Amino acid sequence: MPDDDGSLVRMAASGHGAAFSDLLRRHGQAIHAYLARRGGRDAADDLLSEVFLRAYAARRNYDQRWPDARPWLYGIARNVLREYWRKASVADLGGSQVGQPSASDDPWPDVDARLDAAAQVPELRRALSKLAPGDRAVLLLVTWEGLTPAEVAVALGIPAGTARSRLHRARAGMRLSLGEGSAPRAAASYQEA
Amino acid sequence: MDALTVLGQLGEVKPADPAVLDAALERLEAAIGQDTRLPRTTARAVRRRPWLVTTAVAAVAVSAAAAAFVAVTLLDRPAVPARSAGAGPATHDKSVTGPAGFAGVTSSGPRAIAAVLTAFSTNADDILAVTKTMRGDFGTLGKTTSWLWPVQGARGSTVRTRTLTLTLGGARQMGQWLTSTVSTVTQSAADGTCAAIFARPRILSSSATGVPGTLTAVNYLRHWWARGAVTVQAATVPSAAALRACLTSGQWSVTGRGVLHGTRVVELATPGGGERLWVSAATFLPVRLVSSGPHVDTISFAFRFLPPTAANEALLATPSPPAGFRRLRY
Repeated sequence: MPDDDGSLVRMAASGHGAAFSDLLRRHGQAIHAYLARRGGRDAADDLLSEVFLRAYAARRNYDQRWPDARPWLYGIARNVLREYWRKASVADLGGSQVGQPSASDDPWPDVDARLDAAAQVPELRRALSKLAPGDRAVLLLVTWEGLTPAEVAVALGIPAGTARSRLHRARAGMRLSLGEGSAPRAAASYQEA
Repeated sequence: MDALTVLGQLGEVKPADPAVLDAALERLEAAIGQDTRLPRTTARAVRRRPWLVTTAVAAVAVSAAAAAFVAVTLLDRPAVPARSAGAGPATHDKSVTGPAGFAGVTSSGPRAIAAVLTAFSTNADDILAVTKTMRGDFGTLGKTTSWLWPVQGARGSTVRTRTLTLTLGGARQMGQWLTSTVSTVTQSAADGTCAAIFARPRILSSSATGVPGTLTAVNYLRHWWARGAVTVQAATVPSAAALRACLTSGQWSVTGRGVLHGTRVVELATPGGGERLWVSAATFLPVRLVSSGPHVDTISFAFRFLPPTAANEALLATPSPPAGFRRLRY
């Protein structure tokens, strides 16, 4: 099996569909983790196959110069999540405290719910909530998925320079909100009884 | 440890179940017509949601509905059989006629709806159990079961509700037990929209106008619970009044008669078939309601009217805090 993802995608695009399965088997865990961090584990279980199908359908759009397919796959996963949130929000079951789909394309409410579980870090939660959605998306792709700014640019479909500036702004915003070197303290909006 | 390091740790997740990956790959392979020699035996043995990997749309719908119904049934099986049947497609049987005393009802939509409302009154002391399932392009998007007791209380009387939100896999996600009083606010909560009824109670800020009550919440996934006095958005309080309002707001006509899970039913529909309702031909209690919209394919409701026996009342009993769960305050 070729080491670089570009070769696998090229093989798939030329009719060797099994190569694409190899590619997705290689990155399946990472894509599932991306989905789980933002939509919860159950949503990730259900949406993973949709990401795979969308990726296969879009295989000819892959820039074969990209050695790592993860950013491209994250971008597809992001679109699948946005559709999931948008559709789910139409028939919102109500509630704002747990991992319900949000009312917009912004996955923040789900991320918020995730952080909510760790009630010991409300300051971190508030600081993240203050970031612009685009800045937050870049920060979480770097912090949670381990992408470089250039890879984030691929995932979000933005210029690399924009990704870098958003990351800089997000980090600065977090430091400003939290105070340089401060550690998260006890709960605020949710108080431990 | 700085905040960004903490943020990174919060992003740690458990690896996906290999069966989930296998199922996703199988679905992909079905699409591309390839066989990459997966460990199919393992995948098939432990796969959690088989309807997501089948390519037949009809099979998807049947599997999802069955799984939702089975999940709820396993979680909270009523001690006494319900007075109306569960979810599922009706088989049409044109020989069925209306119940005695309802002459002409089964050929007139408005009269049928009037009979339904009368049935609510005659079963006012029952416990109403409603399973709400939302389905979209990706399969089931959400499931909630609500219990409400009594079905129709006098103004100022106590009404108890329980709402159980299930994960897409059918596991318990969130339970909410709300005790409030019947008020004029809840009586007009539905806004005439059937799709929106029987949502999950949503807490408002203390200054907002809503329904005051005592809410106990248990988050089974995140292992916390909370209990306290809250104000709940009126439209999100599970309410038979909301169901009555949505039924009376629609222009229903009788479209058929048949048998649904052994229960003879009358089928009604709104113009264009956007909403369809099946009511028991014997009691005229609603059995099933399906609402279709442009964004979410189907929202279905399965209704059960349970007699208020001690065992059934226990379905609404506020639970003790689960061991090991952290308590949060609203």
